[in-house]
Amino acid sequence: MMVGTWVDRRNLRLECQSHLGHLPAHLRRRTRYHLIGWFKREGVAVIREERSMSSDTLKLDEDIRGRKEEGKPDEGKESGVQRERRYVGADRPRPEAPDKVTGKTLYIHDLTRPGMLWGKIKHSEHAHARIKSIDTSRAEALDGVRAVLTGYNTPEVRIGFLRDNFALKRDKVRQYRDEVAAVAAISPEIAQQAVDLIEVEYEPLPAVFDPVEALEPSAPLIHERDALGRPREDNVLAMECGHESGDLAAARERARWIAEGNYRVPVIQQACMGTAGCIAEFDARGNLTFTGKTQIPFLAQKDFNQALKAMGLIGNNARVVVPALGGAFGTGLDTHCYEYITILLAHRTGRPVKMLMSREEEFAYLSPRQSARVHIEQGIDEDGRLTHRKIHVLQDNGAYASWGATFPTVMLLPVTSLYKVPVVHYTSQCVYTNNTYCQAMRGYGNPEVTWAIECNLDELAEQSGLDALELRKRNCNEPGEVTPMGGKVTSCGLMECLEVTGKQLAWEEKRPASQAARASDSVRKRGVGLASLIHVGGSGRIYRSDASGIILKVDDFGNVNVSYGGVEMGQGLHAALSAAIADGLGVTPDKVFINATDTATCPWDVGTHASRGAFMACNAALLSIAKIRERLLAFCAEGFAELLRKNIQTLSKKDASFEPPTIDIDAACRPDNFDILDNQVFLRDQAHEPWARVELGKVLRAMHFRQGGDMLTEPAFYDPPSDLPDWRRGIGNMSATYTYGTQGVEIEVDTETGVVTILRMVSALDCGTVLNPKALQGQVIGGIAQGVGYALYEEVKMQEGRITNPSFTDYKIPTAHEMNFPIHLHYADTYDPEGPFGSKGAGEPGLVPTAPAIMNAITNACGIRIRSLPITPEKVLAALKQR
Amino acid sequence: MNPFAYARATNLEDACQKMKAGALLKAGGIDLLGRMKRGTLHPELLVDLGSLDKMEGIDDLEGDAANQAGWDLGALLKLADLAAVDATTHPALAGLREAALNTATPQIRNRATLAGNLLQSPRCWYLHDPEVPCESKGGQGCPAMTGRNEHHAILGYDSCPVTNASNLAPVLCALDARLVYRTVEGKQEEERLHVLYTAPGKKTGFSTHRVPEGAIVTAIRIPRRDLVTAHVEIRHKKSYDWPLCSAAVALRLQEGKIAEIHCFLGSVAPTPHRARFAEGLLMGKKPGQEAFAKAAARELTQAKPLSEGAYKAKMSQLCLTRALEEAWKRAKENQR
Repeated sequence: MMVGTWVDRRNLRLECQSHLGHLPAHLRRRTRYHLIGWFKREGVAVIREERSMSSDTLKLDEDIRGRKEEGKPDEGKESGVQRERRYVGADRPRPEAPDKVTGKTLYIHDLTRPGMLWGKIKHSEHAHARIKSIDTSRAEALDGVRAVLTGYNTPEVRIGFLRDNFALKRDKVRQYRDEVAAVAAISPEIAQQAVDLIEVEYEPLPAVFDPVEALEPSAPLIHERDALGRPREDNVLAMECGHESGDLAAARERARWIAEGNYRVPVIQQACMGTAGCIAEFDARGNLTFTGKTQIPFLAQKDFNQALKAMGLIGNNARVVVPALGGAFGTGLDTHCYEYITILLAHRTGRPVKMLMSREEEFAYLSPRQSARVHIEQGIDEDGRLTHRKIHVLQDNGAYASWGATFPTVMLLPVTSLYKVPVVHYTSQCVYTNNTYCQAMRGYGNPEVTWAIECNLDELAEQSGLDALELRKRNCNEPGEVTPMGGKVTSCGLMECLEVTGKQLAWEEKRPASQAARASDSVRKRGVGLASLIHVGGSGRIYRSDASGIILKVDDFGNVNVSYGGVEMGQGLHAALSAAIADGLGVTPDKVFINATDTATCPWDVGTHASRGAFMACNAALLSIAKIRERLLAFCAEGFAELLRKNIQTLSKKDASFEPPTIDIDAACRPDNFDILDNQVFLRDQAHEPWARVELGKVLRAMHFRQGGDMLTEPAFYDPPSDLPDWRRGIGNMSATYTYGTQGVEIEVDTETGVVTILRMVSALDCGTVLNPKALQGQVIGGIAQGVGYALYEEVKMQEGRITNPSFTDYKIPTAHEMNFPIHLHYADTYDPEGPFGSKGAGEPGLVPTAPAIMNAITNACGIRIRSLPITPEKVLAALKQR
Repeated sequence: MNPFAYARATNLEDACQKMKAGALLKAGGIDLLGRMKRGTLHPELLVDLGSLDKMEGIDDLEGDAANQAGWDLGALLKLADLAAVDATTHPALAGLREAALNTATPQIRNRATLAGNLLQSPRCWYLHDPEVPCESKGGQGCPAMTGRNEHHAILGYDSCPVTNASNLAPVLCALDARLVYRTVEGKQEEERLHVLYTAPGKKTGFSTHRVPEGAIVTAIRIPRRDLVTAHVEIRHKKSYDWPLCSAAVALRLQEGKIAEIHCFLGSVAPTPHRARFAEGLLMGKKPGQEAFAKAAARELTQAKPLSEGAYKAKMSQLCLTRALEEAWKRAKENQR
């Protein structure tokens, strides 16, 4: 019983007790030091000790936990695998970390091929112009140039989900970054020189850069024809996403207070540490191997196969290999023109071709996060319950359609489901302009609209006099709820998140005190604010198949080789997956080897997006593990007794004092008496007897090297229980479960300079079981840093479609100095029935509510409300002046 | 980046000999390498001064108190070393230390040199974009005049509203620092820093300073120690960013009155902007908050912000007021 006092009461005491019964004889009644050593070796004590938080937090958790303990599902029944957890939930370093910190990891920048050429692209010099002529003769004449391509000497390769974009542009350009020509040369310098020698003659066309102006009937048409060649009448994208539930007029009647406003978010850049790049190479049969930065290897394979077809390589295949990535944040969710151009160059030259983006090129020529203008109206009744939410979103799509155009589909979730709101009217419109076209980024539409919802809620609180936290509690989501879009809430810890954030911020004292101090003379004013989030937590079905396949191959030595089609891009997927496999199968994590993501060796996966990596990979792995264990234990029922006899023989030879067991070994080898733990197969009821344990590799070899031998390789395919929504009506349970969270912040505003300083933050996240606290901490704090950037610093500035700040000297992302404030992290005590080990996706939520939480705190401090991001000192000063 | 040759200078003499047409000096390389990578500079040869350790120190100048002898700061002194000077024993250096400490990032401060910081290219995102033509790159017109110009000049510009990007220049100008350099002919020259800066325009060939071509700056000389300095800046980001506005003040009190005052504003003009109106209003007067606010307001009445720069006038005024207050506070403490 003594052991319980050294470990966290909540979790580990129970596990210790279960072990105590089986404590090896030589350890009984030994000192605390020896016992702890043993627990550590067995991976028990370390887990919860490291997870424990400061004492007052613990106490707080206990309060909340006490209320929720009932109805908690029986742990350990995941996918039929009865497992003890040693590695899931433990603070373990990521498997790829040693290579990364010692510089051994190979990124696309490090890769090279024999005979490789370098590609470079000539971009448009106009936002909207007709191409009159392209003269490539001087470029072609340059020594070292192997190919010069234009839209006129290559097959037409259409790209984008609306097929409105072309790898190389013909006839006209629609944005500054449009690809007009490309070069392959023996060095990047020569390629650049050749690009500079290409002369393009343009006839400028009237251009439009504002989405509202682009809607005018007189606006220039960006695309005169659609993908099928039919004439277009306007600049509106052929996409429909909306939602209508309930009687809006009646709800407005019922509302006691209504707040409305126009909110804006700017275009921002994903700013990955690792810039983009790829290598394309063809074999002699015309099959392509593409190595590059992508989050969607299998969708890219499909896209590239279409390109091969357009290039006349009918029936040929594109194999997509993903190297180590230095972050992706959504940049890899679509295929890009530069990738198709690299493929065209490799095909034309018959040589491997590499294309790399510099930081400036990445800023100027890749797709950033889409901007949005959100009009919102929300109402509450006398009791502070939401009566309705009406939202219209207008998006500046830029010149071509990529995933930025589909943000409204993800917005649907917070619009209909963040807090309980009975009446929802949601419309969206996406319009072509001559600005840079946009793409996905972490959160994908969610932060854009949560910014409006959460700021507007505070405006309602201000109007009604109701406390902003109380208002959110009254409308809080809860388990069992079905949201207006049909979202089925399984686990939900939002109330706990709100309560913890409130307590940690000392909300009840600080919020009214700051409000009262608004009128004071002091230059520096403080305030607290908070905002919440809902996000898909069990993947998000935006394609017909939302599945992930996996193959686990167990070799003769007990190593588990994993082929999974999702992408580790720095988020910690491999850390979660190796822990899940280790615990699920009964091996140590160092026995788990995760292969490079490769469409040729991995089963299909829809892509790593929607916070789905760990949820999907671990669930798929658990299905595969169930089959492996079943087959292995079936073999044990036949063959384990013989292995044990050999064991006993060896032990008797080695140790004269060894006493052979007296029990009936054949009888003990019954199917339900086997278990696997830390690379050993053993008899459950003799768990700590050395003779009853056999190294896993030995069992596997026995299974393999016999008449009719067999090895364990098991594929599994997991498709989560969710629906593909009807986007036009905005109905469908798009995720198997939902993640919730609240962020709170205390800020200080210098009312003379307009500079906002963050003093501290609280992040309470409901993502079910924490698979790896350290990795999750990285995800959450990293997300908050991006959220702080969105809130206070970041904006891709454009002048008539040209980006004016394409480098980190002028594009401001937060550095360690801006992030130098304490962040209190809390994870709600929830367990999701569909999640692997009870967990839910947590990749994106970190940045979703940060900006509105900060703005709400600024309002609390000095009464101003800024409705467009980022909240710069200039805007703060201007708002203070107007006040 | 274009191919280029590289030579490491072993001493000053060697550096002078290696310099030729098409060659550029490299010290910390912060500004230089960035411009080369972006394709706005194409040197054929880089002469690296990095190992000339003789130019990395702070030397006390000979002289006694009456002659007010100051310091020679080595041209290759790292900003990090400048940020670490003990300002308690040298109140004249307090403002300089503050300016150095806030510059860029810790990594950059460990590489960037004093002379490199003072003579770096000015701030303008159009100037640094090789794809955008403008007058100072041999093209026509100025895209900033009608484009995005939130960080451009509001004072002292003609046709090219760039801003001086050195965070150290305003305070060194206020201290009346001199640039000591060696010309190609081997002569040692000394010139007042604030006189060397010029607003780029057609007349000056779009140069931002008048240091002769090929000259190697060896030191920055602060000629005296009897001024008290303060440097105040307003920053959007705390690091890896320029200030939105800054102000440096150097002053001397005598019998409760301002006996001498030098005020320079940063980030608002193509050169460090000398606040002559403010100086004039305060010279010989009793210092005080009201006088400071009035002087600062007067200085900024001449501001001509472009479309997005109006906020800068207000912030500059505030910076100058705060810098004056801080310098006064320090002067009083110093007298005690």
